[in-house]
Amino acid sequence: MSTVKENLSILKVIKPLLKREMPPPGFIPDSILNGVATFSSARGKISHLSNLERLITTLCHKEPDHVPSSSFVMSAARHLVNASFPEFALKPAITADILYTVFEQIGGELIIPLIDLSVEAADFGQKIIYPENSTPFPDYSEPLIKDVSDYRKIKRIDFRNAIRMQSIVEVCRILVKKVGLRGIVTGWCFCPLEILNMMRGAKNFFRDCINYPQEVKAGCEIVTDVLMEFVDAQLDVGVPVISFDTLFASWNGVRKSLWEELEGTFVNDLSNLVHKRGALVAIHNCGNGIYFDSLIRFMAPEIISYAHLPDDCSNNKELKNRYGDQVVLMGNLDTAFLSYMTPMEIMDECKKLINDLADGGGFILAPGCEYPPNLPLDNARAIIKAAQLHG
Amino acid sequence: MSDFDSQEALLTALSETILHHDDEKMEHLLNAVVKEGVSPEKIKQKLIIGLESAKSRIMTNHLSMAEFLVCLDTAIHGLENVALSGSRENETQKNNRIVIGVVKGDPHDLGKTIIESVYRAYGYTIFDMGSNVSVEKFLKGIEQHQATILAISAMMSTSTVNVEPIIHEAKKRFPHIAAIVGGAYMNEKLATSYGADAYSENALTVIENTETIMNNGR
Ligand code: B12
Repeated sequence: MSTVKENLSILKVIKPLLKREMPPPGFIPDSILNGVATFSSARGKISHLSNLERLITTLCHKEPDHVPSSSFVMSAARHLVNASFPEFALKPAITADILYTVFEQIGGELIIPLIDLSVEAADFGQKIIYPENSTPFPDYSEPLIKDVSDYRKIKRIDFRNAIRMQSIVEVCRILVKKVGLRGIVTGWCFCPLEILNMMRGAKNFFRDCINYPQEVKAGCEIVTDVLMEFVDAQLDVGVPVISFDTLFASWNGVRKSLWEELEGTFVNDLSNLVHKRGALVAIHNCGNGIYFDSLIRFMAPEIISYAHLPDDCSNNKELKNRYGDQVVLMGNLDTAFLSYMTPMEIMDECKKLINDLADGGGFILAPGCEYPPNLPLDNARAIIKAAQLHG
Repeated sequence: MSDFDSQEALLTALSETILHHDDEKMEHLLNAVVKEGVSPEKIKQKLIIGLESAKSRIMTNHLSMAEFLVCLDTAIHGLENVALSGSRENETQKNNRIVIGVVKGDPHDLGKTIIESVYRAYGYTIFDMGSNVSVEKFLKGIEQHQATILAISAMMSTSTVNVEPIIHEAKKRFPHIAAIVGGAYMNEKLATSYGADAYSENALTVIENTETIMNNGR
């Protein structure tokens, strides 16, 4: 029986490799992954590694030739293909083209399709504004959830008709094919509390979390049901990692025990699904005082991308000591710096991060959150250059 | 007062209801202190101490954003009740009407909500224009509510520039108006260059900053 299972797993690895795509890392035997990482780490001391070797070495917590990086550039690159904000959000071929152009022209090893924050909410029926000169956002004058009793009335939509989520799947499909073995494309999914927040409006939602947790949980359950299909569909098109945005597990959301009560079981289901399918779980959270301990307990992530320090650490060195051997750390260049620093200054900031976090592998250099949508891309190039030069 | 050893203990318990966002207990204790004959000024002071304590906890990560918002609700609820029972406002609060909003192109309204609630909790009359507010809507708000203070929030690096035209137009049409600004990417220098009379970093400093500009006649 176990050989049948093993053979099946090996098939799941070989099939994508034959298409020159990244297989689900969870199905590659540990001994092979570690062997590749150890060998790459040694080779990295004398020669350049490929993007994939660098990522695998990093994910196995070994030191590559230099740290891998991601510029986290999304709609900020729209002008590279003369596209508008609404086109970036709504036309998957254009979105994929923009993200691929960033990969080719700016560099970095990891491609993360954080298109905008209203994808899932839009499919559940929230009215969204698509401005010409900014990222889409919900029309808060017409929230879908008008009243606490509405959480239970959210419609469990048919995923086949979820236009915006389907378009993310399409973006992933195109990118996985185009990038092949030259990098890793991750999937993307907002967690249920944040989706409900988009459909209720922040103020009222916060109050509901505290005053009507059962109603909020009922909403989470309906939303998660659909998210499971969304995640499955992204895995079907071959992404080896899914990134989950878990903003509410931070000081910008609700207190730790309440987060665990409200969202814990749902994010646990989502991450179990990812792991069961051999893929990796990445967490993104740009809140202040993130609950690393709870997130690790409920989601067992391989990667955490963060903007601000967790609630139990007072600097990056402490963070590395406490959590560095449990997860790969990704971050945490302040996005404010990107707005006002010169590329040289950005490279200096990156050097500091590398000094604090890169020792022993397990670090990906990146901004703490999406590269600000209206900035020139010089500082994005500086991040990638810093990784190559100082990492 | 039966549950409390002294009037001071009762007042401390009252101010703690804010931290526990316990509206029911707040009302109960408010009734008790009024019965005790405590002056509205003293009650208000205690409520403000409760609010300060919540504010300092949010700064040290002991309180989440969600909890802080409900603490503010409780504080406002209490202060409104005290106002009904006849407390006097100070001159600055009485003489000023504030119009507040988030600039166009920016949907981040939590910072603004907190500032708005703090003003309200401290007894100011405030009119909320919401988020993604155009220059015209700000001007209309000032005119309609006869505002003396314009409070503007911008939470993104990219939306911060939209503050300048609002202040420029507002001062042109309403020379008496004082502008106070804030937000994640704002700072003293930027605020001055946009023509603001004051910048405030957060909820902790906003009341003091507002009183300073109004007392200095700007
Ligand atoms: C919560 C949040 C959201 C929520 C907003 C919910 C809401 N209704 O407010 C949601 C999820 C909707 C959201 C959406 C987006 N967001 Co957002 N978001 C955040 C986050 C995590 C927290 C912001 C916040 O609410 N802070 C809490 C308040 C209380 O913060 P505060 O600054 O401490 O507030 C104090 C002071 O600023 C001051 N203050 C504020 N206003 C005023 C006004 C006056 C008069 C005074 C005196 C003082 C004052 O007092 C406040 C209280 O003490 C930040 C990252 C972070 N960690 O900061 C990103 C962040 C602000 N978002 C960002 C982005 C890019 C977006 C999106 C564009 C993403 C996307 N691609 O779709 C969208 C917006 C869509 C659009 N078209 O613009 C960026 C902005 C980057 C930039 N260019 O500046 C940030 C910085 C994240 C990042 N990339 O690094 N976001």
